[in-house]
Amino acid sequence: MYFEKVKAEYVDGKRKLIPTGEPDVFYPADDVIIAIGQENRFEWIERDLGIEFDKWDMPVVSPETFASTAPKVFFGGDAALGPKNVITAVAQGHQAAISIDLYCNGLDISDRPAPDTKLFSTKMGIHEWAYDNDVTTDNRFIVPQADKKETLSNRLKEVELGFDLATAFKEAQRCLNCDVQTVFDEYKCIECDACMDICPTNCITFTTNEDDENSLRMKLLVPAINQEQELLVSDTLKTGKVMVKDEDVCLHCGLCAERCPTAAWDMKQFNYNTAKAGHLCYA
Amino acid sequence: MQPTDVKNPEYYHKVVDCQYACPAHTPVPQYIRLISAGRYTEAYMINWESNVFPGVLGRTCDRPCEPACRRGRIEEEPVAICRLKRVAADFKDDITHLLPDIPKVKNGKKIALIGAGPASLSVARDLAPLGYELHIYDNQHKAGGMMRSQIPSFRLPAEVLDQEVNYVLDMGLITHFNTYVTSLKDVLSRNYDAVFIGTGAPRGKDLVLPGREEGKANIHIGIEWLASVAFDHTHNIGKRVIVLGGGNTAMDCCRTSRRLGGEDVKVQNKAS
Repeated sequence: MYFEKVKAEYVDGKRKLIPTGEPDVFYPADDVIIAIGQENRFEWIERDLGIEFDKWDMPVVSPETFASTAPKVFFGGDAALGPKNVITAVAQGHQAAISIDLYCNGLDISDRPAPDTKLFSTKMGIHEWAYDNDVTTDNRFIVPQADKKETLSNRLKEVELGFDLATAFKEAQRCLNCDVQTVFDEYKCIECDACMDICPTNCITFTTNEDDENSLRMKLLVPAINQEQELLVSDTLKTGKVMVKDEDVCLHCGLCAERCPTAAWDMKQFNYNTAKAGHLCYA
Repeated sequence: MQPTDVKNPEYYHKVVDCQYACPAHTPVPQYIRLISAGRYTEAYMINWESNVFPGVLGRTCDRPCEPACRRGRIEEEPVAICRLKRVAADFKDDITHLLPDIPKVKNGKKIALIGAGPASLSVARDLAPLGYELHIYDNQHKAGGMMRSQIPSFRLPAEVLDQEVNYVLDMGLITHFNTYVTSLKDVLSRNYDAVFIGTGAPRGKDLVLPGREEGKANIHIGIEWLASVAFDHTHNIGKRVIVLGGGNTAMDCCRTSRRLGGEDVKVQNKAS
């Protein structure tokens, strides 16, 4: 096979491949496998059924309800919005199941059921929580693999062996328990700044408020530059200041709550379960 | 700034970066704590409710949760969320008694599911406990879709896939395997109350190049070739192999080639 030599250049942030002008390269091969992507197949769907197709010949599917433009026909997985992956197919299947159940019961499929949420304190004692709040410093553990000699000679032999239980425990301990939320109660706060002082990542600041989010972000003890992460902003406190917490690098270690003399901070577990068809719950 | 509205569940949801990033919003920290506590079956069931295929995904997920993991912002590497999911699957007890009861008396509604891959099986898992009569169609002799035909066994053993596919099939699904559906009109004429289309993206892209036709005996389409290996039709390949592409399928083709006789396997990709 001949290949043209190219180099990547970025024009207006778009990657372009420019031929280098060097002679084409020849690689001999006994077999060639083309793995450059995959496409849908809808020639079995007649075009007079009321199912609209777009200019790329993909069915028009709602990304919320997964309904097509025809009644009682739903799509999901790679067939719906193009090739993605297994977990996306599963997530879309859940949504389609909700729609099908609503539809079969004569209900409005655009009226989506809300997630089931719970928020409850993990406080067990003055300095004790129902989760391991100690932050480990272990680096990520490597999953062991079977011997290459064995795996290369038998295509059925699984390469990864999986964590053993001792390693699994240590890796699990690396989780920061981000679902245990730092919940702030401004009515209990006496503005002693103890939480601001003890926070190991300096993510809590008591300061005067700003109208503009970016100005507030920049005046925090450590400027909150990760725009993808939210700020937790309290109501105005007695001194006229607000408590601002940058969620970005909070370790969920609970030290703010342990240090707080008035229990204005609490570590509360937040459970969030997306709705399933018929509001069933298994776990 | 206005005070944060923490009554909106999406605020705290977003703080749980992994769960928020997961398309199925799997409650990740919850199951990881259960693994720490040695409660693998419960950790598995939390996963099973959200993502239906924890054993499969614990090996093969694209894991959007991991780049989102807060650990990755504190130090370099995120928590091995995906492989911890596999731990829950590997060390769970028999879970059959924890699966939902399937009503003997059906609710009178009949659903057709076209394609027996992860999307259709998820719909079936959610609807079967509600009493729906579910007819699932697939052109293969077994369910699983691309999880069976495209993911090689050295990444996902058939037993792991079979177990999780069977949890769903055993909910009383009516299977129509070895059946290629050629007309939706025909399906719709059979009085189903709803039809779900989960037929995936089964056509591998080809390249129009000089010599493509002359060399066709030794030029293969990635996903078709992987399926042919998975279904035991192809057992070997030449010593020198070129794989075009750089995605999951290309890597699986390359690794499979090495196992079927390929000694000099090159991956050619326009990404550097």
